Amino acid sequence: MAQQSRGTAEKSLFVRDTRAVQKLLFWVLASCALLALDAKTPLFNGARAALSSPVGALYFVAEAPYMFGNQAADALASRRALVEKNAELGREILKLKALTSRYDAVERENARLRELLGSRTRVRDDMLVAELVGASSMPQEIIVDKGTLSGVEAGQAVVDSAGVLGQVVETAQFTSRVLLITDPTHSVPVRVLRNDVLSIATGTGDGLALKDVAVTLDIVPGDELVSSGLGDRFPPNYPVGVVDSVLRDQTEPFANIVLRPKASVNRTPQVLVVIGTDAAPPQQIIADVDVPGLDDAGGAVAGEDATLDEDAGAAASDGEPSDGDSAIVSDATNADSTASTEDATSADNAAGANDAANTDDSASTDDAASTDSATSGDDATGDDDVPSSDDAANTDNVESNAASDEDVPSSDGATGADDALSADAAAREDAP
Amino acid sequence: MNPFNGGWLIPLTLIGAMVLAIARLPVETPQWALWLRPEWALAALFCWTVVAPERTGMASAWIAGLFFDALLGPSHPLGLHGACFAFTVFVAAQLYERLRMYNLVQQAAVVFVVVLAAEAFKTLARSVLTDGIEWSWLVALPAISTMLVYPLVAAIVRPLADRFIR
Repeated sequence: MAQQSRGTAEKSLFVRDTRAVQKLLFWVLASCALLALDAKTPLFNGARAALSSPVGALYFVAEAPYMFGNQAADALASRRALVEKNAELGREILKLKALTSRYDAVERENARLRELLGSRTRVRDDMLVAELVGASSMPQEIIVDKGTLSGVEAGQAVVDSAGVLGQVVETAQFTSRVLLITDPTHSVPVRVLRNDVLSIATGTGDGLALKDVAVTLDIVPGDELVSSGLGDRFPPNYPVGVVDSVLRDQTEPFANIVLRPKASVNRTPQVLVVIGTDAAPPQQIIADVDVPGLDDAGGAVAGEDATLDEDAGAAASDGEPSDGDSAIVSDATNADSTASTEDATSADNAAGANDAANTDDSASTDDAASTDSATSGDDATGDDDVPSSDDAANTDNVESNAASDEDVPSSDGATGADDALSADAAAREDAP
Repeated sequence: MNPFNGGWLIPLTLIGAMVLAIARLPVETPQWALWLRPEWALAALFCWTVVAPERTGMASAWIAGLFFDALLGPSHPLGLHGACFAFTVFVAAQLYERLRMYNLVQQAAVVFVVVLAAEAFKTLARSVLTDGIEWSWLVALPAISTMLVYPLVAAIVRPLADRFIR
């Protein structure tokens, strides 16, 4: 082999790799294998993160012309312009302070009301200000100048002053990559502010759209949509968009709803990364679920289940959703099977199942079994079966729920309450 | 005088190509115009291989490709640029005697073909492997723009090679 290669090399006087074709084939095949593995499995995520931390610095280099441009503009600004701007900012701060003080009062009131309902108070989200250092448009992404060293993690929501902007999809040490909500592969679970209808807003490339919404659904242009908090990805109640147009073709099962994003997706020099959030369920759920023990019993997990249930309820009535954020939808559709009969029943059911999973399994089964039939045991063990009669379902579920709660004496559940209300009342006494 | 015999030059030009690959364009730029971004790295690698074929190799080009993939984010799976870079080095190394006889316009025509093949591979692989990327005939645009900037790249690379490598 060596002999042969030397022969050709001598003949041509120039260097020539005689096995170049084999080498090319090898590297192309290596690429193909790596491509498939990296795209379809998380196997190389670590390697990618290790590589992207050093090369991430190049984003700062590439952004330097813009940064210098801005700095030069600052340096060259006249004193008069700066004074004017300062005064304007002062007025703005005054306005915002007034708003904030009112917001504080409202938040305190909200906390008190939630306490009355026996629900957890939501703490404020922790924000991190990040500057844009790069952007790409084939997947619509921006790169910001805060990374793992600042506490940014993949999956965190990114907002600007007007609303939800996107979510972190990849982090390096000093930079992170944010997928914008307008990208066609991105979806946000949303809620219509006017009537609490739940849906999912999917990016269309240049805006947002609600996919798979029944033509009969009550949505009109001008409706404001906020993040619903379902799916635990985006914190609830951040503005997402405004309904721009609703096209209803009665021959089609779904309406064509176009949204205008609230956040200035194209031109935000600074963004806020929500690095810490209390993923509590949306508020309106509390009204439907008449088990006050829900929150203190299961903590975040029970709350989460209740929200999924609510979503499933909405899904059953709206005929949506079918795709989008897969994690959210799959959960919601799982809960769907139980949610079809009655909201309270299914919510109780889910809560009960959760409790059984969280707390001592045998204890709750015992208690529930002492009062009633096999169906209650079924529920407590986390089965999704809906019992035959509504009344029985309510009683059983509340009992199993109360039984697993440490505050509530087990006798309460075991006294054989005929309807849900008495057990309910017993639980309510202890809840706050 | 020349401690690494110019070994740092090729990586340096590739880093320059990386910066140009991520340089941000104004937000008003229309979608099709974004396809016009030249493949600076392919042009530089091609030129380096023609000028100094003993200094480039498919393996190192493939590894450089990994850094490009990491730079451009999860929508570019690892290995994407490696194949394109290795292919570029292969073509240039196979044809370098002939290419040295060509003038810049003729070389640019070869660059067009190479970049077109590389872009087609990239877009095809991404459309298969990642969400949200679709095949488009716009892949011809970066080939055209790379062909047009090739004389500029050659004007940078050749003096560097003359000064540091020969």
